[in-house]
Amino acid sequence: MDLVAPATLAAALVAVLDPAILLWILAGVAAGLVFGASPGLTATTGVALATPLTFGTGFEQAMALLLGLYCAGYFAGSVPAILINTPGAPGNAATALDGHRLARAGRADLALGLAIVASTLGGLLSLLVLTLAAPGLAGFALEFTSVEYFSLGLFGVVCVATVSGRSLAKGIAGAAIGMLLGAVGIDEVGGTTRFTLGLSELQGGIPLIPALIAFFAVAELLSQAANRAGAAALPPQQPQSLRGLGGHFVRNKWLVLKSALIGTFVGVLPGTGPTIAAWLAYGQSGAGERSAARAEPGPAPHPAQSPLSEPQAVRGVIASETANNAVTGGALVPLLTLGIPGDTVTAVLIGALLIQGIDPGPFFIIEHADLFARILAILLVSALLILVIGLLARGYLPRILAIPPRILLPVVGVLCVTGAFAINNAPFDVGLAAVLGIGGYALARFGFAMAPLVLGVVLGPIVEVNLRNALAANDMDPSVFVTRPISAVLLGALVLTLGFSLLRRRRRAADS
Amino acid sequence: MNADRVAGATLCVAALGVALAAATIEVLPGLPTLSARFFPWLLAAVLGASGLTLALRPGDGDLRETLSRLFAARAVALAALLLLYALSFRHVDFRIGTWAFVASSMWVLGSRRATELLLVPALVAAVVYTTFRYGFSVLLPVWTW
Repeated sequence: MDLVAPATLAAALVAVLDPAILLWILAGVAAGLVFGASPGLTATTGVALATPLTFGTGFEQAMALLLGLYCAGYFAGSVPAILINTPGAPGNAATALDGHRLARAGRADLALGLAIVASTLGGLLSLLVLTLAAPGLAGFALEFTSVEYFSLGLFGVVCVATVSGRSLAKGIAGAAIGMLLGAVGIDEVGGTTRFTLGLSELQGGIPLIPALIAFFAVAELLSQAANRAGAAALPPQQPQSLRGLGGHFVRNKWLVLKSALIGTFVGVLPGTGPTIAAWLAYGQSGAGERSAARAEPGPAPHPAQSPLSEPQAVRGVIASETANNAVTGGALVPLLTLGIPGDTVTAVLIGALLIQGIDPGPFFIIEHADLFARILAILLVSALLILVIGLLARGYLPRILAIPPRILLPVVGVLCVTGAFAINNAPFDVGLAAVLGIGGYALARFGFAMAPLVLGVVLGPIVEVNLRNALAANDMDPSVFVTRPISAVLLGALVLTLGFSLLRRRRRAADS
Repeated sequence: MNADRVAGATLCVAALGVALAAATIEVLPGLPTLSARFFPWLLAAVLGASGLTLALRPGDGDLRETLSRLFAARAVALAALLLLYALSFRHVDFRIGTWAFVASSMWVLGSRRATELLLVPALVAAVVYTTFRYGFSVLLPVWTW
């Protein structure tokens, strides 16, 4: 399949530069900055809450709001990571290591500037990959049958189960719980009813958006209520010139490219996300050698006692933030070509596309090249807006942290409830979101990550339906999953992923 | 006691429950593929195996500590308020219910200033109602007056 025609891209850019669409992108970027910079509230939470708002809007407005929020949210988590050593999202944990060290040395302005520019570069480079690779991959995806979709879906679930949290068993259990939730309702193949508890509202299955709001927003909201985060005072800060900032990027241009490629590649893998991308890039930057023992997703520790090496810290921030934002373009590749989400936000975006009457999959780019081009244009404008707003406002960004939790959390609660209702005008969905959210909170307290659970809800039906269809189409012969080459490669990668994960965990257990 | 052992045992019980519930799913005769019971049974087996692994090879989490974090007073109170707000959603005027939820949640989360407790919830209720009702044409529950 050919690339998207330059004329289509130009037309999309003109459409996106319409002041009304620019305002939607601006609103999304602003919301993303607030959600990303508020510790515990993530871009995923923001996108999940904003998706019901797109019910009455057109495609451009919806994508402008959500993609602006997506890109800005991934960047803004670096603000609390740098200033108070509390990553706004797990993907910014690597940034906290060196970013906060710089802040404690009076170089917060430098660290924030690095994060802003690195995020923009990561977003732009991954956008380039999306533009070049997605159309070709969509053509390739047309060859996929239910055999390949089953293997790809399973690979996605296993990927996220292995990289989320410290326990593989908890990751796999979370994915299984999510897939069980995805099995509720009328069976798509046979038409029989499953696990509806006699409730007619559940015959259509667990509604996706209320479930996403429950596991990402309600569970986070309750976790935040249980935790009290305190900010440590920083010493007086030195301002950073834009010229000096540019010099750091010229010196580290290959690191930027390498980190962007890592982020994009990790984003393309279904079910992964910015956390693993940021840590991988941070690890290969060399900045993390002294922190090797901490190469683990999760809140960063208090800055190490060792003296700060500014060039090393600069490399750490650049690597982790470039990779973190490069995930955005990468994660959209499997979503827009295969209908498989690349990360948790793109899992939510499936719901937003369905609201617009668009079924993401191999035919999306072929049938809607203009809409695909508009997505690219919105991502481009979002990345540039983050750069401009970020650099202009980096002195004010810390003030986002000043919204007191006693006000922020109830407001998020109202948005959870209203958002869950608005999607189908169904009061049942509101109660369901609250109940699932409280269940998600309990699981989170026992150390279960939400990402496998949500990916299970999204991918479970895809895996099951394609497994059954594949067997029906091949006379119930299970060998078809290993005799078809793409499926065999995916299942081989799945086994390797599981094997490496087990090996890594055993080695870590032996070390400790 | 170890938190992972309890979580693992709970998962095993849940897996058994899922397997038993799956056994009651109707099976259509002549379906040319796996029955509707197969996938839930498979997931129950995965859930059970994960639970068993957690119970036999637990991490280092302490149950008492985990439960004290789970039942942190503010989180429990907020969860109760949220559940009440959600379950009463269809019966109560959105503006009143939202005002009451925000005000009580703010109080639970430590707000004690009367003006803040009166004004912020009223502002939130008004802004959210106006945005959804007139911006997104969502018919939120209201009492007519």
